[in-house]
Amino acid sequence: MIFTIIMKEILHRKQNFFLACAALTVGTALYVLFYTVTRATNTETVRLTRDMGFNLRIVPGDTDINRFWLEGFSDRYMPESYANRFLEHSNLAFAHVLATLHYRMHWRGMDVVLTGLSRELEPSGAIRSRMSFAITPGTVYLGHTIAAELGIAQEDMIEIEGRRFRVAKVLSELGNMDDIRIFAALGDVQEISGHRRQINEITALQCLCLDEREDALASIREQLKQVLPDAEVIMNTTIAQAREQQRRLGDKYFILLLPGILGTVFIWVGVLTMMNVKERKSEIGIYSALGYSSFRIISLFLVRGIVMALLGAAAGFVLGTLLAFTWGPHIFTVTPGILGPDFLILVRALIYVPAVTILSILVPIVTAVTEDPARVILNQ
Amino acid sequence: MALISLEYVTKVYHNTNERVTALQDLTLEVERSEFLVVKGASGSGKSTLLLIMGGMLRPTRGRVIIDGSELYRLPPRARTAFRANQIGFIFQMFHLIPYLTVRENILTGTGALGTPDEGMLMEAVRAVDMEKRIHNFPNELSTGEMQRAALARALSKKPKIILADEPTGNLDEKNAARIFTCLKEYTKQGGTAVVVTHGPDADDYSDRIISLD
Repeated sequence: MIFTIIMKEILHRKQNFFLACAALTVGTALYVLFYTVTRATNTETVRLTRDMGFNLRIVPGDTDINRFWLEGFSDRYMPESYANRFLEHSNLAFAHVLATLHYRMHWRGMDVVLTGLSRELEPSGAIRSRMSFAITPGTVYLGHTIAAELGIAQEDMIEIEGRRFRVAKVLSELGNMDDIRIFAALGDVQEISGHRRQINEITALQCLCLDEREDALASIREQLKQVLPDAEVIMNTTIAQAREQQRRLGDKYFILLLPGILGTVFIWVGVLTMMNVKERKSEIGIYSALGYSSFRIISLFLVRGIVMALLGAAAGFVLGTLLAFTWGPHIFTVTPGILGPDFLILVRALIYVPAVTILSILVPIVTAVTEDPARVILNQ
Repeated sequence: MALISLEYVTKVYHNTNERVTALQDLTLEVERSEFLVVKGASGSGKSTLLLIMGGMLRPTRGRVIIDGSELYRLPPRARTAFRANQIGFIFQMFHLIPYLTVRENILTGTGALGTPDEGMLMEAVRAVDMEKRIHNFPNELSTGEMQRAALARALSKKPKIILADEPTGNLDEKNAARIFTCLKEYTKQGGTAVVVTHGPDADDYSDRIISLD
């Protein structure tokens, strides 16, 4: 009976119900839109900054930094096991840890850098797409300038220091030092250079999840001192800061928008409920005269509110997702491919929107139901 | 023992700037199966009296005893249950729920007891001769039909007492007579009716008439 009353009342006062539903739909849609787009922006930022390269470089502690910058790498060595130690003992948030060995050599009349790459190591066995090349032992990736100058093509066989390698890939022109690099497996470069089980750099992508006021580099150096006391850390602050600032920008959107959206919807739904309750005052009096308990009368309004909230949340999710698809790429310059419906948000909306709605409508409902029904009837 | 007993009941309303005494030391007994008509001018406290008898309005002073229980000593939840089980209200303005059909409006009467009772519904509908109108909405009914629907709602739960506040105030003579005939029949079957009115329409049906003037 209660459900029949609720449904018939909704149909009878369609306008009020529709307006409240619309408020909840718009609120949910805005939330879904900004959440989806901000998440997509963050993913895009991560991808872009990842493509900009590693931001953390760990080199042997006795490295001459002046020479490091002139050469582009350290001429000192440290054990390869440092990469694993860094991975196992560091409390820092990072990804894509790579042990590298750079070795300058003169090859076929050219000065080149032979760079050995380990496989990428991830903390706690996390699986991520690779940032660097996955090079099989016995193969090399050749820099663009080297290949062009020496006329070497993919699948050619080349010889380096008496060892034969297959050219698995010729890299496209990058406009940096990689154009004169030969990338090979770490073990192969260690053999050629005579530095078995040694490396001269660990690179990683550092996630800076620090407060704006914190000195990120000092914090990393302090933590690294405990793990690798005889190593030095160099951070590309430009990349790191861009990455962090973009992430914070997304968070700021939310901090500013969310209270505004919630507040507006809260007041809108509250006012509409107040109007609905006012219009139904004599009805409340009648239910009371018929012997309905306050709890049953309140439930008439609460269930109506929950139905309204569930409809608003579901419609808002659909609308917000569609808006994100349609407007997201134009307004927020994100790639359409990374915008997708997030069903976790739908679940959240179906829980939080009814909760917010109940909070918003509870005061007008309880006020009306606890008002003396006799007075209401006498006033009629 | 009387079914309804009011002892020195006083009701004072406190408005913003004034105190209005609606009832002053009223003592009254209503017997089982009695058809009592309460008369009085506007503002004499007739509606107030009905609401006090119905457990909806606490008197400022005095005792209200119904079927041996002192009504306002009961906790609110028990008083609500008492209203659901024992009392049927009828109002001058009908107070039918506008978006429910006659059938659904009548079911709200027994719905207060828990599950709506279709059997009791049809019995009440037949008593007020509304079988053909049960699927109509209130705005599709005449005023006489609306009041008969409201009466059916009150009768459907077979209450011990029906409290009617100017039930025929908006009806013509013929429709008024139908309402009072139904109420008289109800009292003959053991129910007790207290009808508040300021006209003479109910006089012929009443067992007793009192005046609050």
